[in-house]
Amino acid sequence: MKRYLLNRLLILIPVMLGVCFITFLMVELTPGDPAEIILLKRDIGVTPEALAVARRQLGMEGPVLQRFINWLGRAARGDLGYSYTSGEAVAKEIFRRLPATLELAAGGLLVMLFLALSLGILAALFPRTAIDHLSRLTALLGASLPSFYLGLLLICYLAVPSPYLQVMGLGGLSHLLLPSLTLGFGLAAVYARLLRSSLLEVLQLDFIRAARARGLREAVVIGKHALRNALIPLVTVFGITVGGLLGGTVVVEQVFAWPGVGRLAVQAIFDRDIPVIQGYALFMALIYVLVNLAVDISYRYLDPRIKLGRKETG
Amino acid sequence: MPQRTVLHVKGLSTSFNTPEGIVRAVDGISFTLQQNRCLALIGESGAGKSVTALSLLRLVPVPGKITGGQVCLEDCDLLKLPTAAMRTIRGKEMALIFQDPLASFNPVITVGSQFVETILTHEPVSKATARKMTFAKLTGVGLPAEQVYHSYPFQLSGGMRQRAAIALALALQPRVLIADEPISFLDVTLQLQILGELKRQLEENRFTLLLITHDLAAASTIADDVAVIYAGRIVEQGPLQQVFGRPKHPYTNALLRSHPSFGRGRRLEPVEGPSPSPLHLPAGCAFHPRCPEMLPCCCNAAPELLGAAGEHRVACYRFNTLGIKSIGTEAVRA
Amino acid sequence: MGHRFLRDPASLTGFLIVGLLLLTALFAPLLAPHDPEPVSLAERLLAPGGEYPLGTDGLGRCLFSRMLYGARVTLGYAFVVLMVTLFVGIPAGLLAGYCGGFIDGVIMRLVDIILAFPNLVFALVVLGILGPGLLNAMLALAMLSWVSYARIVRGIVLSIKEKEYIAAARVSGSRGFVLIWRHVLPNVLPPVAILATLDLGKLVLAFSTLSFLGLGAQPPTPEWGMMINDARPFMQTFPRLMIIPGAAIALTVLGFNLLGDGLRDALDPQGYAGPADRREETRLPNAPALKGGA
Repeated sequence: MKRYLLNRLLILIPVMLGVCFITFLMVELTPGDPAEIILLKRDIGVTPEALAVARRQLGMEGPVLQRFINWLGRAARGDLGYSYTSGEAVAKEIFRRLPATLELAAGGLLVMLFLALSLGILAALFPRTAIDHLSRLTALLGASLPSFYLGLLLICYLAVPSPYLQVMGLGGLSHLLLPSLTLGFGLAAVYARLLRSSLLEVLQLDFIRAARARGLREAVVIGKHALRNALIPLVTVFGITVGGLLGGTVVVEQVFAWPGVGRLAVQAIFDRDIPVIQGYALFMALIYVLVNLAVDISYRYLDPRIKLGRKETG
Repeated sequence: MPQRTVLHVKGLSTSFNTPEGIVRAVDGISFTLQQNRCLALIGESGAGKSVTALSLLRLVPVPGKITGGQVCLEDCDLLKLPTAAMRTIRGKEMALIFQDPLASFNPVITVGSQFVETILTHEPVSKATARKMTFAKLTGVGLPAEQVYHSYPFQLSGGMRQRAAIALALALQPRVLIADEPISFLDVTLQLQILGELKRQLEENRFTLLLITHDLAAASTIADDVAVIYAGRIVEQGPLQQVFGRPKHPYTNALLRSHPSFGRGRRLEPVEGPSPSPLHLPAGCAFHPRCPEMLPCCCNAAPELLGAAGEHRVACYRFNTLGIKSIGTEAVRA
Repeated sequence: MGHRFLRDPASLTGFLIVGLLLLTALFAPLLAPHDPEPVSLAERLLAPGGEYPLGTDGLGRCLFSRMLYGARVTLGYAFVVLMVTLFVGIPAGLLAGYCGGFIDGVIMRLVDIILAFPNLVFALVVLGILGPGLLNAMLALAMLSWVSYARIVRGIVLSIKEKEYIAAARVSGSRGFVLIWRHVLPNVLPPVAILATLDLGKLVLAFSTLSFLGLGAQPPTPEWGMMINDARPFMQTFPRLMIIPGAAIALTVLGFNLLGDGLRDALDPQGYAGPADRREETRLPNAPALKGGA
């Protein structure tokens, strides 16, 4: 296990370096001189002296590799540069808005888990019944409906008539509900089907019959014995889902005027505010990579056959 | 020793409603199980042995359904019990051991906690007591309790797993133990050990054993009585010595001749012909297309299970009509 | 295989939806009653009927015509992106799988790095560099989606390389890339066809999402995602302006999903069959053995 963890972390190093390099390259690849952009944005006259000062501030001197290492050093200390538009430190701005995005992602995750578990389990327990067909239909819808469309439909037909649901900006549960639903629905649909087929497969296995033969309650047989085994293969897909969740926040934030980092990033693209996009990309990649690491590790804990390093087909 | 009937099965029928038609996997079988004795249910795969076992516990998988008969545990007809009450029977009064020892245990939960979970479901004891009971049971089947308790099923060897499965099945001192092909996944030396273990448990504890097997040798090692099942019906049953020593039914005869331990030096002869398709069972006696001694009447109606000698009963027209005399003489010789 | 595929109602529905969309896209100029782009404020927000089958949008453009041309835009660009993706992804996978070593390392590390970003975030990074726009959005999606083809093709090449008939072909004198072409490609094509069909749905979705965010298609191009964004001010007063394009996107994606699933069932039935059963007795009436659905 320790060895596996070490290996897993070692592979992460080049990947994270690559991520950083691509992020760093954004400035290099962007057409136009960042120093000039910054001067124009701040209404400072573009003179050679001003340009030189701005260049030095941006750390734009020296060969590429040198600049990358400098940038990396600063990034490691939490200095991601300053927003061209607001002039604020990027790290600070992102940290201010990140909780909103994480709240939304967590809400979406909860919705996803709730819908996926209930629909998937029901469909597996009653295959080829109305419930199963409903869950299949939901899955098809979930995979086909664009989230921004779903969000707008929810606003139009649920939130507007309802006095309780709020649709704009941050707030309590009433604000979080619809955005979370929008974010979680599509992902849940896919999971419900995965869980259904995984559960159906597990329910056929002998140890389930053995558990029933021992007189265990049906709730225990399904909820403990079957579910635990059925979820193991799903955990591997979970990492990808988190990517969908993180990426999806961009759209949902836009639809619900949610003040998170996704909205910040989209605005930054319009403003050509490269440092902000850089900061956003770096944070998202970091969160994504860490979550995937956690998923891989938890997978090993969930399935003792892998944890203890002896693989055997049962 | 006076025999005490623990389980009495009468006319049990189970069928599967498939898109291709109705399959009568178990078709009106009857037998009784006596305390501290072992009945071996013998037959080829597909004959309905496992379905019988699952029917007794009312665990037949969909689309299967028990269509008739009685399963009386002492005086209580299990088929009439409400679902919740039936659950308290499973594991507590009637336990099941599976063919694949790995299959008895959930692969991702430790062996010990599966014991504890089972005990706690049926007995109002503390977790610590359940744990103690588990240790005692594991030790009772000759396993290193401490080690096995904390192991996951895949960490045990096949033989250890099946011992643990026996211990788990007997953990609550059930009155009936059903062992469905308990040794066919093990290699030969382990087979003998496991059979020995079952036999020892049978002698030391109060329960009755229903051994389901296709293995004649296994049956002859441990069983007191045998019932031979073919296409969902019992074709011959009686005390082991009588059935194996003087088989009456041509199918039993063919089975015995196909087996090295009973062929007695003669050339081994496999049972002729293919097993019948469960969807299209032959009319009359299901064995007649393969039967070397077929009579014209065999194609019309299935023969009833009738007494041959003492407890020995057989479902074959040769004995029911023509064979009375010859059976009489054989019984005298026996 | 063909007739089994078309007998399945889900695949048939997918086939019909996609076919209808393709025809619409091809013949949009013939079918559309109006030019989709010019603004005519005098005729804004007209109700459906008469000259305008679906009415007009907030800038007085014929919604029906914009929908028809929208099919053209959406499908057209999704196809172009897919072609670029295949053109990069398949060779990259072949190269990585066949050559191994350094080349494999470089390609797969690149894949790892791209996959280290959540998909949409990576697209935002590319658009951050290049700026918003139709072509840039396409490029961003292409840079993202080649990765899965490279991985799947590489995997297949690696597994086939082990097989005997490749060794036999080597002995009989086929060499190098010719060998891959002749032996590996036929094995690669079915999964790639399935993936590509499903991917078209995903590309339509991603493309309309970027356009909705204002990062993809730019006005006055008739693009469904952008049309939804344009309709937001009229969401409650004229909901059809949002509902119709949204339904079109959903239907398109649904069509490709159904078609892709159907193709998978027809071309790759093993992936569907479930685990082999070693005990026939208890499950004997090999009943509608509970197979996993979609």
